[in-house]
Amino acid sequence: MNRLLKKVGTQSLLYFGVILIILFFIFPIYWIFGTAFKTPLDTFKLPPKFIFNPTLENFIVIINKTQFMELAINSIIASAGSTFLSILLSFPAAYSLARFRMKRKNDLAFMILSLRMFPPIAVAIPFFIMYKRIGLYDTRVGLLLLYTAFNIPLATWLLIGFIKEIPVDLEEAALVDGATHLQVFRKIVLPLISTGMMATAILCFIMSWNEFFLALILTGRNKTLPVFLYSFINFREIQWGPLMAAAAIMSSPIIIASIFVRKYLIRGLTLGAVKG
Amino acid sequence: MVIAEKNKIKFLLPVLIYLNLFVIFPTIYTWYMSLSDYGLEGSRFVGVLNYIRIVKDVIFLRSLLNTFYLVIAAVLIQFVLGMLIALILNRDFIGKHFVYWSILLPMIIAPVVVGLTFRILYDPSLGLINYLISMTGFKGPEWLTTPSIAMLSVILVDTWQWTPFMTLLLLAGLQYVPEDVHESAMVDGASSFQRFVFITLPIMKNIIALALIFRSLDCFNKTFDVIYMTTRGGPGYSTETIPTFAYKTAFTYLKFGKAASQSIVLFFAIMLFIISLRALIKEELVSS
Amino acid sequence: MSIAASYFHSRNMNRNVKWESDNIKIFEKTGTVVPVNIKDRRKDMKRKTVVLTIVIVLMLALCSTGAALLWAGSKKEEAAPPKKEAAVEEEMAVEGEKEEPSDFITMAEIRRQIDEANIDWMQQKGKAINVALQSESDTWALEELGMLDLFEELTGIKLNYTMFEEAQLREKTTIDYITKTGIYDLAMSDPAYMSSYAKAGVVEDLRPYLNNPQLTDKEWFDPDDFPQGFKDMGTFYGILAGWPMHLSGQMLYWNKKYFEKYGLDPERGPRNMDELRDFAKKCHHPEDGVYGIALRGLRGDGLNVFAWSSFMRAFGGRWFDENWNPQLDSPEVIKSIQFYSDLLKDYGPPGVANWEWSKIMTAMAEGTIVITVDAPTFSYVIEDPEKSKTVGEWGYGPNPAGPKKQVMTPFSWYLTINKSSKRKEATWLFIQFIMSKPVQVAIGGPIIATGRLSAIADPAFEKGNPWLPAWREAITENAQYADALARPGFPQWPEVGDIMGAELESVIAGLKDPADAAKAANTRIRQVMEEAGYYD
Repeated sequence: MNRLLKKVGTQSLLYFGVILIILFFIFPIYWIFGTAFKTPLDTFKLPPKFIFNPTLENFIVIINKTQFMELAINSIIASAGSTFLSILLSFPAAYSLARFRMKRKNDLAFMILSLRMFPPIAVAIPFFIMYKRIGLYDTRVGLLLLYTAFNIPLATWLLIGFIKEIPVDLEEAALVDGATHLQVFRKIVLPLISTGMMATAILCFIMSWNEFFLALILTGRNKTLPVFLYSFINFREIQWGPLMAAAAIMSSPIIIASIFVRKYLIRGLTLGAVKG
Repeated sequence: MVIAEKNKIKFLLPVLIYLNLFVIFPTIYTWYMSLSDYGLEGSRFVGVLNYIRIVKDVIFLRSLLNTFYLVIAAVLIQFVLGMLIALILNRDFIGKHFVYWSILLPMIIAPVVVGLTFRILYDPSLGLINYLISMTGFKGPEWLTTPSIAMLSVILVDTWQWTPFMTLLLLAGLQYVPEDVHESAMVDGASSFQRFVFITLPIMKNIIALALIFRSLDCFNKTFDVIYMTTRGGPGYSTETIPTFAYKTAFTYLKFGKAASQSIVLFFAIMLFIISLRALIKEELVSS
Repeated sequence: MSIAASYFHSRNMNRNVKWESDNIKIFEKTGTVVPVNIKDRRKDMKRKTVVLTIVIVLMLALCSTGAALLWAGSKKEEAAPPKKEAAVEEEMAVEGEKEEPSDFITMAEIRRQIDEANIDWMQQKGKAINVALQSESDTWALEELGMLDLFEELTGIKLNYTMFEEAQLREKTTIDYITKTGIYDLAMSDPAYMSSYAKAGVVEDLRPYLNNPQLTDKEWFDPDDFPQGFKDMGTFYGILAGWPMHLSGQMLYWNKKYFEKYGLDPERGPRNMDELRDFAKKCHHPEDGVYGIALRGLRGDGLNVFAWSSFMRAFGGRWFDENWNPQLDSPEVIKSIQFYSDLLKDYGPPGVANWEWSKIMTAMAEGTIVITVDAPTFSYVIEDPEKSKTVGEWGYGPNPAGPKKQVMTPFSWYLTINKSSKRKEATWLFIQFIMSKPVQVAIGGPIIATGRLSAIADPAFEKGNPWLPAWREAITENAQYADALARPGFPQWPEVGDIMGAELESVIAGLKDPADAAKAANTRIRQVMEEAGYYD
């Protein structure tokens, strides 16, 4: 009886906690998405209208009458491209740093990390000058390369962490049995770090997708979506409806992509047995 | 190690070359800017004058303090909260995937929208937060204009947006904690709290270190949008951090040399912070 | 063996397997690692790849349909300009040449007037100019009414324009000026920064272009149609650094409906500071959710300082003396700080220390505040039935008079030519075109506050805007109180203004008292001026 009570107790505590968490995180999201569907008159009404006549006008305006869709391509190229490239480059580096013995390994890794310690304001002008000279100013490739540079430290260190979670013995055993390095990667390392790899990819993508300052400085006509969002704030007013609608549309690719890779993100019990 | 050592440099080379291409010029140039009077009228070498000036500036020192206050408080809160949520998500329950997505959303929304949204929500007369509080009979505080609360409001926004980051990493890390170790400990009579502290945490040490390091780095350098959108550094200078102050110095006061020196000071402060953090956790991600 | 492992072990028929998971099997004797169920895994992989490909294809398809839609003909706009209802809007065409661009002047008339100019519009044909505009109603109107396309057609100059938000515009142009790369031939500038630009020599003097008979038909362009005060505000270090775009600044607003409700004469706004305080007090009813007055509280040289500066001057204060010594700790300035902050603390909405113009405008449209002194351009939103609940309730008047004088802080955006530009003549043609009489009349409809006196006075704009006569009267009367020294133009102004703004905000938020704030501001400002070499 006691055990049952205890179980019910912990379960309800769990659910209560879950509800609180959801409320905390969902509430502003509700405001954002709600405003996207509201007319300007309804936006600031207090008491707020929880049930209102939704209007799709904001979304229609964004998709049809603005450059949103065009610029979305820029954002996708820069973000997806840099995520892919940075993971491609970082994986070998991470493996090397995780597994091999090296002198000054710590310093090397720290140097890679230090790129992320730089405040963006300071590097704005140098990057601008550099890009203008090389001719990468206002190009999608330029942004892609830049974001890759900033994602590499993140990807490298995260992958080091996840690779270290896999016991070396597994790889050693396979090698002893005659597997090539490539097979070791494909069949042992990659599947086992898929959780971590996906988490890394998602984080790199999100960071690049929402990056604003350097995108502003280094692009003109080929801007990305975060820069575009600012055009809804202007001298006369802030256009809440279209702004929130744009934000809502902007978040959708990531959500959709995450749904498809969710199997990699939450694994079950099985993986834990590896360490046994 | 088993794998041929000759490959170790080959694996690292792409990353090293790539990064160096991007890092060398900006680093040298920023140093140069910090040592000059760099503005619209060109640049003029002045040695360490900028550094002397900023060190004597009360507002700069205040911003530095605020920056560390923000980062330490925010990251700590986000770690605890993120860990709790990761633990909950580690179990199975109905609606787990829905919870997972709702947790992920705040991180995905563009920072400028987050900042603007909270600016309105926090407003005592136009915003929803105080309105909802008033429904319970209490009067909500003036979030953005009371100096002691203003920084907490900013920390709250940052927590709202970036706890998912912690959760994502910590959850991935939790996947690697083996069940059987827990079970043998349970058999030995350890309580769940003890198991958590003495088994789970040490195993997750590396991932925890990663989460803390990267969240701190982002908190140092990327909170500009949120603060700019909500308080602009006010009231007074209570939410002024180095990024906002450096931005103003550069684009409002048009003193880019001074801004560069402020950024470099921050850079070294961050470096010290990360080194101390790693030493504290005794993280061993890349120890030889 | 551990419990979990033994579970898997027993599941497995093959005794030789030491351990097995989703992905791999480890054999007992040799420890060989083998992937599990290759066939199933391959199928699984294939499924996943297909799904991923579909997602990518879908996203690309979405983007390309969007791009295709754009190509199919609707006009490109950076951000959707807000819709205004009533006859005025419906008659303004967005596409097609048949309909007239504006309610107040036909396209034919515009062309005819442009042709009257005694210059060859095509003289810079074939060049391309890059133009950085601020995203606001002037520029939207120019785009929406097809004026920008008309320019291209008329002059053969390719126009690449981008619209930015204020801070972003400044960021981009600042970097452009510093690196002297000449990305933007023309930029809209805030006069606060123009003195720095002029001093550093990064913007062109416009007078040679104005006086060049080949480039400008001076008589037709009529530079005197622009108030001298506003042209002066764009003159620094002896050069005319920019051309004023519109006449703006401040204006007094009061809600007539609330005035009547609380026993005041709805047609009579507060004429001086005492009345301002008195009327605000009478209209302050927080229990009904109505607050007497709201003024800018958020720190910034273009925010609270902008609004407060007229009060400061009205109380007799000044920023500097003849030798550039800051005078902010003088009793008149302290008194103005006291008045401004008390007014807000006593009769303002909660949290007003965080309010800038957009919150004030929102509150006006929601009907939660009664009085304000702010930009004349608010009327654009608060009289729009789609955006405001207080349409038709507003009274307009000049700034209230202070104990020493009656002051209005003027403001305008200016068009500047980049000195690093390689197409300056073409850029000047652009300036001349959009500031010309016919174009200003055309955009006068949507924005009202144009740069030309003659355009503002045109009675044609009253159609659909019943509030216009009162507004126009107020702005005309107010213009005579324009005080250029309220917001002085010198290179260190942005920093000076920012410092003052932070101190002012702390007073409004109740952190400091006015005397301390003023002294703190004065000391810091003095330090800035000293470092800039003003006292050598």
